[in-house]
Amino acid sequence: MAESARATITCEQVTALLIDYVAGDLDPTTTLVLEQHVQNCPDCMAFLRTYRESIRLTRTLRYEAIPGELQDRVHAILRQKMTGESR
Amino acid sequence: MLRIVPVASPDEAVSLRLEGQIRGPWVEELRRSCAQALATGRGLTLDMTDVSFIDLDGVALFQSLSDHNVTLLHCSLFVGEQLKGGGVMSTIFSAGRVSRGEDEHLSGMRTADVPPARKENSMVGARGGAESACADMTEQELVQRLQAGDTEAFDTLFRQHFSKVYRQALHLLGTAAEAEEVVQEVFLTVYEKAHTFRGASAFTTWLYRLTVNAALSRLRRRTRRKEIALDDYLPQFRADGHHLVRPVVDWSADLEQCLANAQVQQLLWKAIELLQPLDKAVLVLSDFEDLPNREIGEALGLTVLAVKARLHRARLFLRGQWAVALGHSPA
Repeated sequence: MAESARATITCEQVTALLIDYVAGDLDPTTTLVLEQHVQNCPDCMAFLRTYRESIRLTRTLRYEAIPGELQDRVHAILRQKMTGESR
Repeated sequence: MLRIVPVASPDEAVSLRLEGQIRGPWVEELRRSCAQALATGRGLTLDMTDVSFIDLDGVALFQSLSDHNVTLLHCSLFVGEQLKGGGVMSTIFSAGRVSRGEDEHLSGMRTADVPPARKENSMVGARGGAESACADMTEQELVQRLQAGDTEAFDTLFRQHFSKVYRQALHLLGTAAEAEEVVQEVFLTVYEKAHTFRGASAFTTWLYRLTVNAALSRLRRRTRRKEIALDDYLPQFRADGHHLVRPVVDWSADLEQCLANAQVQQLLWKAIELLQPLDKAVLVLSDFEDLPNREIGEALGLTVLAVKARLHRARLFLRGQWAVALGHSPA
């Protein structure tokens, strides 16, 4: 049973599974097969690292600071429009 | 490994005790738990006593929680410094006393102790009397009062969700002016169409849907730039399943060193602008707003599988853009 039963996976399949792998959504068996492949495949190891780094960098772009007066201004505009509307 | 244990809370807030390390796939698990807790509208307390480590993704998660009614309790010095380095401490801890016991644990502060100016999304309104009647209501109660025409309920919902809506619109559209227009449009719709909200999904999901739809309609009206072949930036494979271009170069450690921060940001925003509007929306809601795929699907009218397919393709495209920027093959 050994060789034929042992799951194998190609680099293309690993790439397709990365979205679930980095989210921790793969089942344990598939995770094991994927990790075994990556550990023995420098190309996939490099691809995984660059994929993760790309996601991390994207997240650094998040806007955090919102001008304090903006909320009050928008609220005032909304109130004007609301009082001008009939429901 | 991270254990997330609901515990009884002396106050209204949902309370979770975290044990272990906030890293890897457990960040997503924690994010889902926090989202579920916050959807109740009762606030969230996280007991960090037994948290020994938090990675960058975990720090990013806590950054995103900074605008919500979340309290962190008993962070160790080490974890506290990790959060502080990510800017989290400045929003959750900075406004009041932080005591250090002999065991060197930091005590967190409830947002109720934070000066009103910081509490954009708190249930305790910054305006005092007029909104105090709504201050302790659940989101469901506020929506019901809104549907009955209560403008104070509207004001409270507005203050609770303004930052999130504005930020989503800004991430999607890229300009403050358009983001402001979208915010007005969304909340006006909330006011006028509150009676159409049936409660089948969470109120926040309805808000996401309104925000994304308003942003998408603007994105689709924009003059299309010269079409680029997205496939040129995606990985390619041989018939036997190996990468087409080998070796695949690991540039993960080089990126920030090779490019100045402003360049990195500019490059990334330009790349994101090249995405199709719907792919961009999926990417923004996932990687900027940390929404789970199910909620993204509900907001955009997509299946979870479709969300994942678009997200993966968008991420691979951005990865390819980075590779090319550094002089490597995207394939």
